[in-house]
Amino acid sequence: MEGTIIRKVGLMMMSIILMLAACGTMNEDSIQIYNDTDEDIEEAKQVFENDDRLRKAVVVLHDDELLAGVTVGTFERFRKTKIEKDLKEKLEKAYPEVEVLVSADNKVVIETKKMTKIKDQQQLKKEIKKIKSLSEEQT
Amino acid sequence: MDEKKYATLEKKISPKPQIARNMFTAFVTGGTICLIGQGISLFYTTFFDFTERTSSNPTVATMIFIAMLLTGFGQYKKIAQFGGAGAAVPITGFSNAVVSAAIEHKSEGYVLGVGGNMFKLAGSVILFGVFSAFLVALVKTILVKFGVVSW
Repeated sequence: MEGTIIRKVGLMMMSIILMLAACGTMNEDSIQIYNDTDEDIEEAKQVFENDDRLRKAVVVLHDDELLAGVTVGTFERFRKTKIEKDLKEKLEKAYPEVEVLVSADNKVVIETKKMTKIKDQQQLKKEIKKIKSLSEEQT
Repeated sequence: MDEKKYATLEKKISPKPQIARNMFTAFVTGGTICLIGQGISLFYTTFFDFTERTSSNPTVATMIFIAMLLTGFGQYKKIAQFGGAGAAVPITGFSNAVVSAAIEHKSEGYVLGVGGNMFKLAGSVILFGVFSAFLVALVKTILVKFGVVSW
């Protein structure tokens, strides 16, 4: 009798997963940019738009720092580090005076998204510092 | 009865293993465990200061803790009965192997009973895991030395 309960639970789990898998659409704005400097942001926008390996990008440009969290396509995640490096090089070429950090880590995307809504300059600076130290952490 | 005759007789009588069904249940069970693990990982990245990379440590600890509780309450064996290798291969299976051995040998005392028997089954996993990691690292070191790949 023990098996039947697990079988029922398993069947229910399966149907829920299949149902959820059916509604995975993505049609929101794929590039979000926050900019409080007088740098031209169009160039960065072009870099992210022309890369078809990306699904979403959130960018924060504050003082002399550029923070970009990107979400890569499903099977591109095996080449995350290469994509990060590519984008970083391109952005550094476009903005020579700015310190660039590109990360494909979900945590950075979440935090950068929160950052775009922060109004306080001091807090923004603190948050950027925090993300930088987080992204340098090893396991 | 000679050996050949016995072998054919044994083949005829013993029930056929339902390979396709077993594979399917193992896939579903292992997948479900990994799905739960992914959920926990997402929880740690969203609500705590962990990145995708560093969240693996607390996730593994949590999964081991859950499997430990399930083993203690006698629920994990039901999952293993249903899922087979799907329940044995993830880290929860390893946890189950350690905890069930510890529970079983508790009556023999804490040092020689629990301490001596805890890693009876799981010890081989650790040994071969460490050894194969050493071999892989050795191969990679040589490849990096010759400039074929980079770290």
